[in-house]
Amino acid sequence: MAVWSKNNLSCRTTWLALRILEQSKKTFSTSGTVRMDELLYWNAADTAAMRNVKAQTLAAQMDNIFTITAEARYEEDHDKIGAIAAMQEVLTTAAKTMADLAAVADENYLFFGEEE
Amino acid sequence: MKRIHILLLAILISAGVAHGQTTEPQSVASLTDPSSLRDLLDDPAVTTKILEKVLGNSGEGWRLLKGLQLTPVMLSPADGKAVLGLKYELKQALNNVNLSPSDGSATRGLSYAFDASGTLVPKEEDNPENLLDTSLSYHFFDSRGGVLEKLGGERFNEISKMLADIEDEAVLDQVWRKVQGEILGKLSTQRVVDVSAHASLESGQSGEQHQTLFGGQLALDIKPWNPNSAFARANVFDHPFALIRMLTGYDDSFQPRGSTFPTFLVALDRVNPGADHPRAAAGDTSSFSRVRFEASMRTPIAAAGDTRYFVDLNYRWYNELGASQSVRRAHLQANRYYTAAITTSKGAFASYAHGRLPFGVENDSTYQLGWHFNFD
Repeated sequence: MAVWSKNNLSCRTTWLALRILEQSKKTFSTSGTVRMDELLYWNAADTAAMRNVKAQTLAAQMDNIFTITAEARYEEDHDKIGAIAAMQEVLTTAAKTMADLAAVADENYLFFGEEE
Repeated sequence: MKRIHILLLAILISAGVAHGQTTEPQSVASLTDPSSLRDLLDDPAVTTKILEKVLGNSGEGWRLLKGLQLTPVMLSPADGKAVLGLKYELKQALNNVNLSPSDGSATRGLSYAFDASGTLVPKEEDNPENLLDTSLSYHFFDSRGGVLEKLGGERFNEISKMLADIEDEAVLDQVWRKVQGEILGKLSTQRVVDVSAHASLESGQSGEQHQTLFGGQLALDIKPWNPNSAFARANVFDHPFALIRMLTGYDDSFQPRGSTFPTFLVALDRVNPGADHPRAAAGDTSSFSRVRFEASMRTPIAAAGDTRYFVDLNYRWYNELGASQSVRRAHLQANRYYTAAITTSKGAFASYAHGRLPFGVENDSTYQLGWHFNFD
């Protein structure tokens, strides 16, 4: 299982971004295992085409929060669309967890205060 | 793709849920009990053995399963007996190209996507959702808005650290209310447009009824993320549920959510029907143009302990353009299908669906009780 620690900026930033976007109300300590199909955007009746669009929207807004609100930058050899696509892939997989999403964010973003 | 369908059906049969199986009656009874089957499938050792039996130990089979999601469901047609089914979804995204302008005014990109999804049951004639969809698409998407200005990385980290230290959900809600204005006030309405070209195969479970289609799709997703914005408060789609949230105590006051604003898709397809298409029985085997529309939303309604309850709504409409007299006489020119479900954050759901999908001839009503189980 992916790391879930409040000392990890990626975990904290991912968790707070999802809280800001009303996707989950759980405390940080209980959120690492929260699955994607527990989040607000997930509708089990959606077609794959619909789910892809919703996940893309949410991933793009998470990118906005990371890079504008929280002043994160992209890791070397990573860019905006690649980061959004990587998060979109997690967001369209029901069994993936918030910890998995944070791990993908960690691969793509250098969060403010994180050492290069 | 048919290989995948056969594979998934084999998994279903291997799990001992097929009709007419020679398993002892007591075992069949226990396997048709959702909680028993869920317990069985929740054991990784059992599912691994099933998959190894079906796939062997070749790497090809396991690679095929990457990105595959499986969800057992109990389908209960209004006029028939319950039947256990398996929903599957397989997806791959490829070759993302960044076209975002350097001034940060928009997020823009290109990508390929492969998707396959559907519901399988032991007998096709028992399947009220007899539509398997396999699609390859090429997308252009453009996202604008969403955040007005920066908060600052240092302040964001201070807030996230303070909130992450809170262990009680009620206390977290109280503290969040005090600091949320600092962040939410900097959010704006996000507008996403996704335009794609696609080639798809739609089929019944056995593949005998099928149609290929080529076309374009436009998706529109607008999310007023700032809950105090006029647009968020004017989300009339969420007003009934905002009232329910107030009555259940989920919210202290009437608070429509911009984050639940519905997403809309519209597509124009050129469809080439197969020989066993219902239109052929009506005397028309020609290709035709079709408009497809889908709208979807999910919204919270209540919470009990650490479980949240949601209402999920999905509406689909398929309409043939310029349908012939024979198709019209058979009432096959348009299909509507809607689903309303109450779901929980624990994975269980109960849903009601009504209408017919493209290979349907008559409208059906279906109740579902289900739970989620995924491979990855």
